[in-house]
Amino acid sequence: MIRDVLFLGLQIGLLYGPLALGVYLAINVLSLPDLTLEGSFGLGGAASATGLVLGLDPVSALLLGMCAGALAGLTTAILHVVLQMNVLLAGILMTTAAWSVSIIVMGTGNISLVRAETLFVWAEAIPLGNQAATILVGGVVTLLFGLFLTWLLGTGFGLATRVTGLNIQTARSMGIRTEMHQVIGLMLANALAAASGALVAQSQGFMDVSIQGGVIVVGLAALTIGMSVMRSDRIAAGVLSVVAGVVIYRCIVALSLRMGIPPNAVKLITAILVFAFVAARIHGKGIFTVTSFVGWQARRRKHMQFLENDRVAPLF
Amino acid sequence: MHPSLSAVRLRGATKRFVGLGKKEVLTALDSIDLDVEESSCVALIGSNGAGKSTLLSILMGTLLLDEGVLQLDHQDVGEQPSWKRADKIALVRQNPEHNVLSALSIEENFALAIMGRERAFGLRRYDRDAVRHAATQALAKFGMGIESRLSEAAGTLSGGQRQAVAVAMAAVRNPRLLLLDEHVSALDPKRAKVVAEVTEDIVRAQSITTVMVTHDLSHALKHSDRVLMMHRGRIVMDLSGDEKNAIGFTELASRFEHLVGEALPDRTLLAV
Ligand SMILES: Nc1ncnc2c1ncn2[C@@H]1O[C@H](COP(=O)(O)OP(=O)(O)O)[C@@H](O)[C@H]1O
Ligand SMILES: [Mg+2]
Repeated sequence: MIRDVLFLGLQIGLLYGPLALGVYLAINVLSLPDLTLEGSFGLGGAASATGLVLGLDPVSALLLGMCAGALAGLTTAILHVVLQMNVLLAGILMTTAAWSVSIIVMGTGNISLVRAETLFVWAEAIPLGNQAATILVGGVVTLLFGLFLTWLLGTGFGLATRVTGLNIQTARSMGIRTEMHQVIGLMLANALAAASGALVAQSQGFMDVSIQGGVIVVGLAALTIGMSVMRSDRIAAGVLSVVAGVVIYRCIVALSLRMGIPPNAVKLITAILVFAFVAARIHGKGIFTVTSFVGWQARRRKHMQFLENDRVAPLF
Repeated sequence: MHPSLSAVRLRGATKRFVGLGKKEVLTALDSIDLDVEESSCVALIGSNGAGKSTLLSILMGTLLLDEGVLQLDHQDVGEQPSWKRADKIALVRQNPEHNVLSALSIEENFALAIMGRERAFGLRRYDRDAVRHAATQALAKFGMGIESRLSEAAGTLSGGQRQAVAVAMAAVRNPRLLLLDEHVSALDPKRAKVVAEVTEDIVRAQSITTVMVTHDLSHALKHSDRVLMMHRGRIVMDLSGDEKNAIGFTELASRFEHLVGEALPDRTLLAV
């Protein structure tokens, strides 16, 4: 049973590995809450599936999907950097638009890939079984992108990207062209999300626009779980933890389904899970324990201070 | 020093801020003309809101001029964004949070300073040995023992130590122009003295053209080649050479009060 759950978690989780890396890059490294990632996931699936149907080989189809995601990221970045639009707002609009664009790219709402050659068909040539083949493909792709991201963020360019996400004013007076790092960072993050979309479409053998619905939450779950498992400012640890986070998340989902929780409740469980991990991060484990009167008072004072410090941030 | 060797030249520099009501306009810099001689150290004094920080931000490029010309080494740089000026100008602000990146290690902060010097943030890792060597040399001057903590996060340092790091980073960048905006005023008097004096030594040793904003009039008199006083966006007093040497602290303080029309803050008087 535990073995089962673990393998299921790896099988599905690793397909979402690149998405988790994209979420890490945009939200954690660049501090840009870019919801476009969700749209790019669908767009990546759509472009990749269309490419396969038109006779592309699976690797080229994956790269094609990533280019589509990078374009979506570029559009959001331009909306933010040139038109000075709030990233959150730009992302919401882009994700809505991406839904239609995906359908336009595919020509229909869903297409079948049964007759197409996919990465997973290739991997099944090694006699391992379907599940192992999926884990292998997802693992290799996630590993490659993880290594690439770790390398990139360790270079001078990547260090400048990290500083852009920490403090724009300081970054600029250090000689860093922050807007360029935001543009390139968002393009890369969305390309990664698109790679996940392409992987999911290829692995399930069909593409449907609805696969993008709610995937940003999978990324957020990966990020919060990952950051709780491992607390470190090192890049390698961050990359590793977010991938671990997405696998753990899928393990928890698999476990809940095994325990007989209806599939419709998965989204509720996911939301509760993210809430719980975020709350634990902000308040420490203390929030889940009943404490003394003094402890309660201290917590109340902390909360009052939070309300005093609270600020509104206009969306427009 | 030849007077025509002016490192910084401002002509008719004007900066306005639109108030909340969008009707009142506050003129923070009012048509300022200024030449700063190469390798000289200029002290900038003036009451709160006089426009000192605005002037430094204009020089760094974090604020852009509404009107006027800004030249650095006889090149117009008024239209350049701050990141393009970073190989020539370094700014150390009052708040350590704005000078040093707390989430990164001290070593990484110095790596950024060195890469910023060439504005080369390329696809290679920085040379760790070279960075650590440069950081150690620059930090040792402060005698705070920071050079032995290069791998730690900069956020673990105290405010004074972080300002020391900020000045050391500026020294490593070896800019044409160094801007100091009350960079020791948030520190306790003992630390402030150390950081201010080491900054002085570095500036003199590397003969960096410097503009420093300070609240400390006696410090301004003692450690600069020239004292400028600002009031309501204008330069109202400009002392250098014999004139500056002749004036004492009391004389300067009373002139300040006369021009500004208000008493000096206690803090300034206590700093004597
Ligand atoms: N970003 C800004 N927006 C509006 N007003 C500003 C801004 N920055 C400075 N000011 C105003 O400009 C004037 C000069 O400010 P500043 O240069 O910070 O003074 P100083 O550093 O000499 O104390 C002040 O009246 C200040 O309120
Ligand atoms: Mg100021």
